[in-house]
Amino acid sequence: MSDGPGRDLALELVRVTEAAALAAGRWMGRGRKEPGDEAAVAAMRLMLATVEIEGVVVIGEGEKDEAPMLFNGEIVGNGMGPRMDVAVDPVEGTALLAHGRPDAIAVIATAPLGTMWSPAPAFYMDKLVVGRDAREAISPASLRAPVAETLAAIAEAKHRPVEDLTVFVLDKPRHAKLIADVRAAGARVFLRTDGDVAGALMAATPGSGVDVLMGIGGTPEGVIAACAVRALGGAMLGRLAPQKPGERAAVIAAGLDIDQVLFDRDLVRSDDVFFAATGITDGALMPGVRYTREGATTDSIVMRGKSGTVRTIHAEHRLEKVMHLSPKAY
Amino acid sequence: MIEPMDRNLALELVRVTEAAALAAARLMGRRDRDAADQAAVDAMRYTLSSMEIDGTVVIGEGEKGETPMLYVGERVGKGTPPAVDVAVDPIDGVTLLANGRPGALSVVAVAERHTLFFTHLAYMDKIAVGPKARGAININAPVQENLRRIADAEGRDVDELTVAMLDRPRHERLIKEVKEAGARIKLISEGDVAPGIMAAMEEDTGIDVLMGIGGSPEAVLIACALKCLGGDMQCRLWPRDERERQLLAEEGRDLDRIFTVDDLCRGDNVFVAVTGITDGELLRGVRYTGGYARTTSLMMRSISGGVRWMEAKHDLKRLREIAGPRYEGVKHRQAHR
Repeated sequence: MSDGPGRDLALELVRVTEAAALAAGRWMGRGRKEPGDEAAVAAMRLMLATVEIEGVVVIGEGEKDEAPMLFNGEIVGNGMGPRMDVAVDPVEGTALLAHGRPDAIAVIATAPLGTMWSPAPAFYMDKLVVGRDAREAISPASLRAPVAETLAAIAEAKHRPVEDLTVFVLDKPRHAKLIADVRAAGARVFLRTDGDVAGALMAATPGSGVDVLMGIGGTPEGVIAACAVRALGGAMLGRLAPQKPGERAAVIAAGLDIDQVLFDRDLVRSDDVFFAATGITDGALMPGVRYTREGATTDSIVMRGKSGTVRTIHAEHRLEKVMHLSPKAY
Repeated sequence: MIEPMDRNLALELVRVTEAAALAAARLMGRRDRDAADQAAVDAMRYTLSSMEIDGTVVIGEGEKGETPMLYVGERVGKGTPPAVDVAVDPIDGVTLLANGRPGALSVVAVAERHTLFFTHLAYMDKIAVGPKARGAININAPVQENLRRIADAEGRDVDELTVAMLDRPRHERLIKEVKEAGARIKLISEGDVAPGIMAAMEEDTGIDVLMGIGGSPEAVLIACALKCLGGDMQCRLWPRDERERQLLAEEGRDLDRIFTVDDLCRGDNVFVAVTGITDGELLRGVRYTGGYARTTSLMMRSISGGVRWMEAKHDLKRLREIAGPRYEGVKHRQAHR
C-alpha cells in the first residue's frame, strides 16, 4: 500500500488568504491603511487556527510588543500537524488598498521549521527576480553589474530583444537612477507604488507580462517572494540594502553581512514550501475581491514547491460567509 | 466575534479527481475503455490514500469481488476521522474518452458516513433543476406541466428552457413530450453527471433541466452536487428486467417511491470535486504543454455553499519524482497496445 503523494497544504492555505482578502476588500479606496490591515489580520488568524500545522510566525506583522496578532514568534495553526515556519502578509500593499490601486494581495507561505531566513533588523533588500526561462542568466555579480548588462543577459536567455522585456520597479525616489538605467537599456518599465511580492510573482510566472523584478524593497517580502520563486522554478537574488536611519548599524550589530548575495535557496532553505495569495484589489496578477448579489468572488494562486504544481482558484463565496468575515463596519 | 470554519475537504478532493484525469487523459481516443478506466482508478486510489479521512466507498467501480479497486465497501484514506462515505466515478463518460469525444470527466463526492444512498438497481428516472426552480418539480406529473412550472419559477417561457437527456431509444416518448411542450432538447451520448451539475447551477450554463433515465450511482453524485448548489431533484428506481424487479422487492423498495435530494444524500457536510478529462461544456479537458499538464476543476461544499473553479499547472517531471508514472497512464497504454 502506497502512502500517496503527500499533503498539499497550499489548498488549505488558500482559505486563509481568501478570508484575509474578503475581510480587507471592504476597505478598498477608503483612504485609511490600518482598518483594512486589521480586518485582514483578524480573518487570517482566525482561519489559520483551523489549519493542521504547528506553525511559528517568522515573518509577521511585527514584533510582539508592536503587533497584537500574527507577531513574529506567535504560534499558529491548530497545533496538531507538522512544525513549520510561517510567513504572512495579510495585506501586501496596504497603501494600494487604501487608495484603491491595483495589485494589493493577501499572502501566506510556509516551509519546514527553521528553514526560513529571519531578517530581524534588516528592513530593506535589493532584489532581482526572473522566471524559469532566464534563471541561468543571473548570477551574484548581476546585483552589482550595470543594469544594461543584466538585462542583455536575461533577454538573450529568453531569445528576445531587450526592448521586449518588461521590468517591475517600485516607483520610489530611491529608484530614480535604476528607472533611468532600465529606460536607457531599452526595456519597458512596470511601475507600482507598492507591492513587490506581486511584482516578484509576476516576474517568476511565465507569460504574466513582467519578465524581471529589480530594485530595493522589504526584506520580509523578499523571504515570502523567495518561497513562490522556488515553487515556480524561477530565480531570485537579494542583498541587504539598509535605507532607514540606524538600519545599517543595526544590521551590522546583528552580525549580518551587508555584502553577501542571498539566493532564493538561502532565503528559504527547503523546496518543501507552500504558498498562497489572493487578490484584494484588481491587478495585473489577478482580479481582486468582487461583490455580487450572491456574495463575493475571489481569485487566488497557490503553489506546492515539492511538486511544482501551480493552481489558480476562482471562488464564489456565499453572502452569509462574506458578511461573517467582512461585515460592513466602517 | 467571527467563528472559525472547519476543514474544506473539497479542496483536498480535487487532487484525487485531477490525478484520475491526468492518468486517464493519456488514453484519450485509443478506443480502450478498460485501460483508461484502470489508469484512472489506480491514480485515484493512490491520491485517496494520502487523505486524512476514514472513508468507505459506497459508490465505486463495482461490488467486492467484481473489481480489485475502489469496490463498494473498500476502506480508503488514512483512517483518521472524519468517517465518511465516498462516492467515486473515476471516469464519467468512459466511452466518450475512449473515442476522443468531449465531455468525459472525473468526479468524487464525500459526505458523513452512512448518508449516501445505495441500490443494486442500475438505473433511475430523474428530473433535476437549479435553485430558482426548487420546489417546482414533480416526477409523477406530466412533462409539460413540469416544464411549465419550471419556466414560471425561473421567470421565462417554456421555449427558452433547454432540457438535457441521454440519447437512448427509451427516451423516444420523453423527447416527443418535451418537443410538444415547446422546450429545446440537448441529447447526451453518455455521462449525465456533467449535465446534472449544469442544470443545478444558478448561472446560465446552457442546460436548465436534466430529465430521463440514467445511472443510479450518477443520481447520487448529482444529488451531492445539488446539495452544494441548492438545486432540486426527484428520482424513481427504474428496473431494466425481471431480475432487477426482484432486486427492487428484495431491497424493500417500490416503483412509486420518490427519492429527493435528501434521500439520495442525507449528509449536511457534503463535498464534491470534478475535473475535466476531455474538453466539455462544463470543464476543459487535460492539456499538455511540453513538460506540463493543465487541468480544470470544480469544487463544491454544502455548508458554505461556496463554489471554486480551479486551473492547475502540473510539472510532470516533478510529479514523476513524487508519484512515479502513476499520473501518466503509461503502464496501461503498454499493457493494452
